[in-house]
Amino acid sequence: MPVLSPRDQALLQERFSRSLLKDITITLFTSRSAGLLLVPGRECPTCPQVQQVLEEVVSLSPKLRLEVVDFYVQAEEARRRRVDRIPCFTFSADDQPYDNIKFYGLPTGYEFTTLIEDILALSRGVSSLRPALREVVRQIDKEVHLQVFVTPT
Amino acid sequence: MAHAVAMENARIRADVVEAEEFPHLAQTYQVRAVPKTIIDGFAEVTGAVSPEMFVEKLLTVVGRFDLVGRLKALQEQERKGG
Repeated sequence: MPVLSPRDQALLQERFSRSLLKDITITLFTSRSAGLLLVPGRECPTCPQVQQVLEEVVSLSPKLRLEVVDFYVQAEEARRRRVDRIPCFTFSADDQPYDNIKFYGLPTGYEFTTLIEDILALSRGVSSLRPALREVVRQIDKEVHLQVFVTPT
Repeated sequence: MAHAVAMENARIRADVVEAEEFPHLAQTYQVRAVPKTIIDGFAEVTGAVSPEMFVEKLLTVVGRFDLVGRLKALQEQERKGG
């Protein structure tokens, strides 16, 4: 049973075909055993749902690709991309990784819109920020960590 | 918003966290209303704010008051330029 309605799929397909420039890879860190075998402490009830949503999104454009990484089996890769819990996904645009942009958890409701906006912005290589904001943000010269807490709506 | 900021500067890490799936983390930062943004583990922005307000708060938290001034000057220019 698809998560996206046929109408949403058609709208997104049209928007992607019109707007996507660079190829985008979404890398999902998950637990492949989730749902089949429950290892105590490694439960990830929403992992399969996140994967389904992302599979449906990437199926809507040849410029989108999903890469699935097992957080426990490929722990080194998770460490390298600074993923500390799952489900988590991050992006690359034309093979340039954007490890500093991550989602933790299921992107539904308003966050689904954020996901689509992220894909479009990364693919065109420019954020939605106005030029004045872009200029000052680029001048921040220290590490900053932002955590945005959301809930499904 | 946080993701847009991170897209412009690789030094900025932005995580969107689904609070119900990560209750311990949400509890650590006393998340009661969303969206709630935590900057460097201590400063917070609650509710949906304009991009301008968000960036100004960010600049203040990282101590770049010079850039707050620069932003205001740029905004003034934008206003004058129509």
